[in-house]
Amino acid sequence: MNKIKDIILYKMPFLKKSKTHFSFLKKVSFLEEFSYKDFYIFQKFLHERTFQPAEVVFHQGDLNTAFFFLFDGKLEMFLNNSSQGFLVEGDYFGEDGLSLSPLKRPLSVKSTHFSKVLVLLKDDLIEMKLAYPLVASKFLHGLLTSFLLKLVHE
Amino acid sequence: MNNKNIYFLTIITIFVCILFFYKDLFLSVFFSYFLYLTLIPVKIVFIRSSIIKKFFIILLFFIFFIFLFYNTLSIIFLFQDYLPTLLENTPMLTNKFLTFIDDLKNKFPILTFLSVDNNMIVQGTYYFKNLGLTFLSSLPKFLQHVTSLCIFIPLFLIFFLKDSLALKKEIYKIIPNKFFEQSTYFISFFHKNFSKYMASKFLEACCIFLLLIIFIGHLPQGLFLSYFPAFVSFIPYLGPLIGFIPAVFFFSFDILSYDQFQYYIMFYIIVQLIDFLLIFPFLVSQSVRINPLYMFISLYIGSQMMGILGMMISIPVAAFFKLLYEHVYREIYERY
Repeated sequence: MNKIKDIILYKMPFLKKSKTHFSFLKKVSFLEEFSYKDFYIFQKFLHERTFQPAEVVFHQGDLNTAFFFLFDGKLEMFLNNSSQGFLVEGDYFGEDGLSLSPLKRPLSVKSTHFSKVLVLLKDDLIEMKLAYPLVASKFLHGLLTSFLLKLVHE
Repeated sequence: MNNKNIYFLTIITIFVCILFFYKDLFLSVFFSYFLYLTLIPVKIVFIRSSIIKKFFIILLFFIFFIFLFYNTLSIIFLFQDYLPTLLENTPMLTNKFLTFIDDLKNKFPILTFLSVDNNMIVQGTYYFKNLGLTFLSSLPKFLQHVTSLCIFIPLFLIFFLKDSLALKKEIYKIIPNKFFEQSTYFISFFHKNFSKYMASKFLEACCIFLLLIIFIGHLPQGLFLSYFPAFVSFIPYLGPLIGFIPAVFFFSFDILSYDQFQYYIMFYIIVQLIDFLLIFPFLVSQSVRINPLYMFISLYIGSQMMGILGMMISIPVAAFFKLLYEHVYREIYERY
């Protein structure tokens, strides 16, 4: 039943409650320091990608150069082909893709429904840092704080 | 192959066909992309210093348009004026160069090895005459090309400066999900490397221009004789030779006297040596780390495939292929 619902919503997106990148980003917890102008600049650097059910977002061991926000849908994480849990709308992942040294993906991520992700590439972040240093530093500060909070809670 | 892959390949094929059949368009896109890459650091400085972006772009448009158009036209008309009379008097021209070489030998005994036989003179004169006639006959078409380039290059440059981010987003949109991360990594590596190379080449050209304008700026047509070698210095290794050609023509046209031409040769060699020994190793070589042997091979392949244009882009393209090879090699090595 859910699958049919997904297909209908994917083929006819106007049936869905309208959601923009801006309204989505406003709900992301670590971007709370962003002003309206910051959001506007930040979303210019994001790339929207759509994945079909069972399509792989990235494989374990792939080149790691991007950070992802799950804009819509549901994703599943795998470590050596065993499921490690799900990612739902509003989650973000691939933080280590923004590190300076090239790393490999520690997990595989697969889409379980029709999903949309917003991708921030490492090189785009570097460009943002050069052109709009305040926005880039706010983003990195927020991401680091949320990462540290996650560690504390764990 | 899914629908998105077919769409991706179709778009790429159409784009390549358009560029292949409309060479002026291809050259305009190419040169404006070159200019855009050299202007990236300036663009960031302007954004940071909060000067209105649109004003900067419009200003840039006019400066480039006026500069390119005015200078190119003035030099072309100068050649058009002088060349026919020169072609009628080729024996006189031959004698002039022979006297010049003899004079050089007398002044600098170290150059006595320079011997010019009759066969060489005949061949040289014939080649010069043919070159001049070809230039005159293709002048209207050449002017048409130059005019269209002068209009399109600044237009594309504005587009690149203003909407580079949006353009990049649109290009990335057509890449299938499967290759997205890897493709964007390689594209951005190529872009970054090319930009670094072009910026260092631009700085090198500025240094050459400044040195030449200090030493030979006071000579007749000193401005052109300073910026032309700086402009062609973008062509690795052949640039210094091509940059010398206008001076030979000006000497033939009697715009430069014997002494002025000798003075020009001396300082031109000094400036090229400064560039070869100091500027190039510190600025350009460090921006693209490739083995000199690969550099020569890539230059040869570039010149065979696309002529001078190929030589200009061969070094950053070689750096890109080096990365691609390293990446593929690592993948294979780790897999097996």
